[in-house]
Formats: sequence, structure tokens, C-alpha cells
Amino acid sequence: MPNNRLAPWDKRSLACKVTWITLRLLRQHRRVFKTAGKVTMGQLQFWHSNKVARDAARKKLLEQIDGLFREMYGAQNEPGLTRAKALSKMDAVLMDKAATLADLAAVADEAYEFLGEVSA
Amino acid sequence: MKAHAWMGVLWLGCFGLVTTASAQVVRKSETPSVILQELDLESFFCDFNTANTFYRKQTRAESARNIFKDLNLEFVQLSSSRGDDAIGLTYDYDRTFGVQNPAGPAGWTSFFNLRSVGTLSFDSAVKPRDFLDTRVTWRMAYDAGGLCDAATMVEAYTRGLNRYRDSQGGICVEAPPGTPAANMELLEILVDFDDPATLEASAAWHQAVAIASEMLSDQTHFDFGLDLGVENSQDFAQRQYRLGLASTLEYKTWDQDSYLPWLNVVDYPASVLRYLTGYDEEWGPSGTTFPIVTVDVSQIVVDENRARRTAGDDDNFLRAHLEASYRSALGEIGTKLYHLDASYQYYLDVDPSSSIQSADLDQYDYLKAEISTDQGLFFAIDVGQLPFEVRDTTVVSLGYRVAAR
Repeated sequence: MPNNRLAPWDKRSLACKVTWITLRLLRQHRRVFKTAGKVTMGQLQFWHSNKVARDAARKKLLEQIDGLFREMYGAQNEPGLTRAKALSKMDAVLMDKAATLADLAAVADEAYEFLGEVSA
Repeated sequence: MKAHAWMGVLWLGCFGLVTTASAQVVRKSETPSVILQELDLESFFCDFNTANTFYRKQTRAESARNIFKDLNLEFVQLSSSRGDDAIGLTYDYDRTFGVQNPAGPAGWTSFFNLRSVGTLSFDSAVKPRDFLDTRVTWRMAYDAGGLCDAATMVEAYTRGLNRYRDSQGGICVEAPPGTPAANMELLEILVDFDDPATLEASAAWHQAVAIASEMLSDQTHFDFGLDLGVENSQDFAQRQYRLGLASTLEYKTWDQDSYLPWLNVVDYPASVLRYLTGYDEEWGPSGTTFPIVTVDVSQIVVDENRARRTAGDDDNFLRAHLEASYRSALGEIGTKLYHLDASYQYYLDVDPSSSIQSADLDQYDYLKAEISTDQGLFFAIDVGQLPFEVRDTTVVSLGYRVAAR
């Protein structure tokens, strides 16, 4: 879950870049990378004011993010983390209206190992 | 369907059509999450009498956070058509729980949902929307599509790449086609663009879109289940209970080249605005913004309903209810992205008596539309009639939403 500390939004971060392009390809926003970090979940296309509609859209979006991370960008879950746990962490951010794309990327960085990522 | 329902739909593309209002609401509120962040919830749950204080404190505080996270509160200033003012509180509590198979792939899921929504006025004479709704639903949901299965993914990837190559005459990365490495190369090109229009005109973007759209398949969400509810007037003097079946349907298509997006007629007005504001480079309705439709058919057990009693029939009745929810981006002003959120509801007394028909209570509808950004100005209008109301009313809301964090 995001906290009050601003998550980094950096072009050198694979998680930031992949999160940005994936949400853009899924037509959730239309920002370029430089200005997308502060876009909130409440500003994404899936955030219907009707909660029933929003939940239906969010669940499918979550699967698509996971699918494109893996199939299009070669991501794998971090060692010791199951797919279900990774999805649960990502879902917690997607449910938070005030969470930003930078927050989502930070959680994605914890949950996924992206192609070419150098372990810390 | 009444004439104003069609006018309502027309309004989606002609903002400002409805200029008269019999009541006004001016919202001057902070988002609830701002209020919540100022609360030290944990201090309420500190238990000094147990050895496991920290654990209990954390556990209870987390539950309390979850409860408050699902609660949306807005203080509003209400004005009646006669010019009287009152303070009101709009609340919306919405919690989904008991989810089975929550993170699974396409397939069946079940869940419970508790929702309570309404506006409480602190002056009984000023009640623009006199309807409080609380419901518990249990649903079985089925999800299909959205993403190609693993067996066809490579084939889809190659098909997307070929499609791009055929239309553009070449590819713009060096990595072997069909590999994530090639997409990473594209990504390195795309992150450097400073302007959305330039980015979307680039060969790298077209290639990425061609590949992604082949990987995404048309998606469907369908659920159905039981719906139990109670409907109250604001002073709780009127009440009716609801027992019925409810169902929700969502559909999206990712193939913009097919005819299916053109069936999304609700998106036509917004698509024009997206084009005019430059948000979309090309005009056309979107296949990903079809309205999400919920239908319920319920037996209404009337405890007290003044309108129906006055009409001469306050017996229990069977009611059908449709709700369509729609959302689309409209464009960006400065750094703020504006959306249109619209919700249309239609109520039908399935077998009305002649007295209900003659009192014009057998069918009514309600449209709410809001243009808003996550932070900043918002404008909303709702027009129509809800249960317990005897005539159409128009409510206009104008306000400023403060940043939530």
C-alpha cells in the first residue's frame, strides 16, 4: 500500500517504464512517461463512480497488467512470491483512489523481476 | 421510456442542455481520505490489558482502516427550489468481501457486497434527493477473455508483428521478433517522447499497439446473484424492503479495426469531445468504454410509501431496475485530466395497478452525469426521479475536490 512518502518515478527504473507503457497500452491514461508518475488510480479509465462497475473493470485490468508484464515484457514474480500474492499487492494499489502510477510501479518492482533487471 | 431519458442521453454530448434547476447543491468538501488521514485510528484501539497489545492494536486498526477506506463522506450545502439552505451529508459505504478465487484467471468467482448510499439533510424541509438505499448482494461472476491464453500468445505476438510490418513496411528494433527483448527496445524509444501526439505518431508506438492488441482478446464479465435491500426516505418515515435477483454485464473489445466499437453509441458524444480537445488523434468511439449494465428484478415489500398510498395502492409489487454506468476521458486542461462519469437508472413496476399508472408511478428514471478531475473543479447534474419521489427533479452540483494526499 502506498504511504505518504512519494514513490520514485525514474526513467532508469524498469518497473516504472513497464508500468507506464502497460497502463497506456491498456488505454487507462494517455500521458507521456515524464508526466505520468503522478496520475492517480482515480484518474484511470477503470475508475467508474459505480463501485460494482469499477470492481468488474479492476479485476480484469489486474489480470491484463499481469499478462502483459509477463508475455510482452518478460517479467517473472520475485523469488518467493506467488502469482496470487503479486496480484494481491498490485490490487491493493489499484483499489486506492489516491495511489499514483509511481506507487503502482513501486509495488510492481517488489512483486516482479523484469527482463534485464539488475538485482540489488 | 420517458422523453427526458432520451434528452438525458443527448445531454451526454451537449453539456449545458439542462440549464434550469429546481434545486441546487453546492458541494464544498474535502475527499474523505483527507479526513481519514488526519485521524489516528490506532489510538482508538490500544488495549493495555493484554500481553498481545501490539498485535491486537494493529489488527483492529487495520480493520478500522478498511471500514473507513470503503466509506465516502462529503459534507454538502443544499438549497431548495424556494431558496432555503441546509447542510447535508452524502455518504457511500461500499464493501466487497468473502471473495472466492479473487486472483484467478478467467473463470468463476463469488463475492458478497454491502452498499449503503444516500444524502442526509440536517433540515427536513430541504431534501433534494429523498432516498437512502442499503443492500447486501451475493454474486457469482464469470470472466472470459481479456488476454490470449498462453498457448496462443506467441502466435498472437507474431501476428501483431506481421500486421505492423505489412502496414508500415518494416520494424524498428533489432531484437528477434516475438521476444520481450524487442518490446523492451521499443520501450526505451517510447519513454523519451515529451508529447502524446508525437509519441502516438511514432513507428515504435504503432508497433507496440499492434502487438498488444493481438495479445488482448475481447473480454466479458457477467455476474448474477441475490439482492437484499432496504430503501428509506431521509427521515426514515418511509421504508420498503427489497428481495430479488441482480445481474451485471461488462464487455470490451480491443480491436479498434472491427465494427464493434461503432456499436458503442453512448461513446459517440464523448469521442467527439476527445477528438476536439486533441485527446484522441482520430475520431471514433472506443470499444473499451461500453457502459457496464446492471439489472435487478425484485419483490418490493412496502412498509410505508406515501406516494403509492396517496395514489390508492400501497401493496407489495414486483419492480425491475436497470442501471448503466459509463466513464470516458474527455481531455486534459493543463495538467488535469477530465472524465465524464454517467449513470442512468430506470425503474419499472412490472404489473402496475391502474391507480399507480394514473399517478404516473409505474415507471421513472434518473440520470446522473459528472465532469470531474481527481483534484479540482467538478460539475455534476442529476435529473429524474427516485423511489419515494413523486416528480422529476433536477439537481446541479458544483464544487472543488481537494487533493487526497
